[in-house]
Amino acid sequence: MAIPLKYNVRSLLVRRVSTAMTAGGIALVVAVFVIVMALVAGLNSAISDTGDPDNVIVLRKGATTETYSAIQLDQFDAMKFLPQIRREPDGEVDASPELPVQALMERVGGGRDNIVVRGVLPIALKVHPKVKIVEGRMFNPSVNEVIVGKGLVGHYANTALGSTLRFGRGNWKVVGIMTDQGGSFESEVWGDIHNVQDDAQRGAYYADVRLKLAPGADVDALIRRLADDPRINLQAETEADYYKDQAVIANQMRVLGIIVAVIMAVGAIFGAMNTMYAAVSARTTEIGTLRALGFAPLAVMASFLLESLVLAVTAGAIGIVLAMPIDGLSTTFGNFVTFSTMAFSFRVTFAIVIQALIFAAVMGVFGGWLPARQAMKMTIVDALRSV
Amino acid sequence: MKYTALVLKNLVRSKRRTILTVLSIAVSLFIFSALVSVPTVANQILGNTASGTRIATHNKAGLAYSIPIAYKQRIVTIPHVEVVVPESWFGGVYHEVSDQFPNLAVDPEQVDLMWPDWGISREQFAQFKKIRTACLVGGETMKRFHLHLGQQIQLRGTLYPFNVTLNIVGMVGGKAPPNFLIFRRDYLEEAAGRPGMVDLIWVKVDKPENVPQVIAAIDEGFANSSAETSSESEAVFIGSFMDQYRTFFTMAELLGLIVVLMIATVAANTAAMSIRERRGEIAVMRSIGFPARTILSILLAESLLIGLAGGILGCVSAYIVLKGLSLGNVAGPFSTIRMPPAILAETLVVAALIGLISAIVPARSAARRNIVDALRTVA
Repeated sequence: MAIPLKYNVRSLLVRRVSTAMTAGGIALVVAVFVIVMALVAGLNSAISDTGDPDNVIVLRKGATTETYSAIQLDQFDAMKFLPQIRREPDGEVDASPELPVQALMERVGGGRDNIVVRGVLPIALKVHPKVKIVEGRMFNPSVNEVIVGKGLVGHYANTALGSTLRFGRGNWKVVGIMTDQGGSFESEVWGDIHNVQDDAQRGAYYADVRLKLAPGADVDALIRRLADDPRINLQAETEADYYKDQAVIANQMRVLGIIVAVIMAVGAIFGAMNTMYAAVSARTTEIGTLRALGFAPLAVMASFLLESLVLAVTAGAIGIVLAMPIDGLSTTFGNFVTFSTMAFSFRVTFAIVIQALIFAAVMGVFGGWLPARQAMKMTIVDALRSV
Repeated sequence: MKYTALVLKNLVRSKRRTILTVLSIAVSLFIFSALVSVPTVANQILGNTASGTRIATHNKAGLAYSIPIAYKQRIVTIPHVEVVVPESWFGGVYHEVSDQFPNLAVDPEQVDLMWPDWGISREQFAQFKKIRTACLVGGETMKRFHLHLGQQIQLRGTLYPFNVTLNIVGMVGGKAPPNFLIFRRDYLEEAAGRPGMVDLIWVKVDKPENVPQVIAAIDEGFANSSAETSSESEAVFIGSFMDQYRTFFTMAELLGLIVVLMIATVAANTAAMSIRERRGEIAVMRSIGFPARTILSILLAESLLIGLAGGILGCVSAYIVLKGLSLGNVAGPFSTIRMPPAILAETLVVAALIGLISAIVPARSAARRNIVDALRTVA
């Protein structure tokens, strides 16, 4: 027969201060775990969720990111007629040539960051259907107009609708604000590709081309064709693959975060062990009594383990609540891979909450295991004698 | 000091508890000292590489925008300017995409005058100036790819659509970034067939106090031209790179703070437990004449020792681990984090404070408790 849970809860409440302090330690560890994972989740969604499953990104052979790529106009013209690319009802090809350039922009509150200014054609909005203009309108290609990602607004000077943004060599009127469902285009400024070419004094070439796959088209055949056709001779991959590779920074942060959390957890487990050992030795008589009443040694062990578990999971819940204010907090992060800054928001997802609770439970089990075993191994006579 | 024996005796009384507490402080301060070392990387890089007399001139629009090489001739004529070295970023990879490291092309003529602090021997400079395909490589990159002097290597272009074949004629050490590779810009320019533009122009002036004046002279000279410039002292230039990672730094500091809070809670709990168990004997000591102050000091000394033991264990192991650790390219400028001695000291102070603060409340109450009450509860 099992010892009632009520016994454990009341025992925890009896030594209130000690319980609160142990729980506090575990709660802080869980809070750290949640904060780091929320950062990783935010970064991940800002990078990996950018792609569209039907899109292919075309780069120069050997290029690792679009920053380091160049595509000639004749290469672009040759690929436009491939049958695997979707066409709009009016016959327009869903091929979006793009030219991202890093330009310095003034941060609100001082300092400057490299922000991606992406030169595009109006077709870009059809190739990237997740990008929506939520305020204002699309830029007019014939004048220096831009649309600005929502993630930049508030973090960088003159990014609000209607203001005049200064970057590169010119002044640019902000005529629209765009969103990308949290993706990295939200941290960019989009302008007409020819204006951007002129401004950066790049020759008349593009950095990369995004192609929208026609329904039912074979993506591998398209990628092979782009590589093998002597007029094209470019390297292509799906956007999903491309952004997965770009997310190395998020993965690196995840590894670092887990290392930090696990090492802290070891510290907290030692603390919990101290508390549970103290609990066991303070309640030696009680353990003897329980055994004398007929509770099996295993029931005693289970009871102490459960007590440690209750303590840890409650603490975990507190830790999650402590870390919760970070959810949705938007900030900017320098990306080592693209040398540009992107905006993202911390995201405490449901999965993170569950992981945090499991993490707390694991701490409880590790912290309670040895003391609970000690409680189990006491002989009735010795335990009762210690009165 | 005559109570040293008593303090030590108290420490070993519950060996398991002492060990657990020391270990939990140690692992926590291990992670604390590693975390607070992260933001100091910026200062280390600045302190290591930045010279007081070097200026970086780049396009006002950002580093993605280039500037004409012709600017060099105009900058040379500005008073106080001693050396001018144009530089272009090549951004090549050795074999794999993940093999990225900073590789740049510079004009060879004045490299030795611009970077005398890079620990390059005269012979190696002479070779660099003589051989068109020569390159100088930082020690860390040499080690990472198992390169040796005299070896011929090929760097695959990413930004440029071609590869360069280079001969390693020397190693850069000294204050140079340890993962650098520099080769000659005349070679790059010939291969690129895009003459006349560079990413950056390094300018060295005669005295640090003339830096602001020269910066102003350069930027005013090119104002309203097709490529306006923005010049910064080397420290500001590197600092603006590091500034991008401020979220990362803030995170590391925030986490470090939480770690300290956490370990303080755990330590305070343990101290409270161990002192509570000794209330009886503390009362006995009081009743045979030990003053409350002495008892308080004995208890605090014990807790202080636990804290310091954990602190030493934690920060020394963190120091060793960081020294042996290289996170590789993906961590960007953080691939090599070294713990500055100041952080070692800081961690030990934190450890001592954790020891003292965790015990002060229970120790005071135990030492000041009414003797009669305490003795009565011994039972």
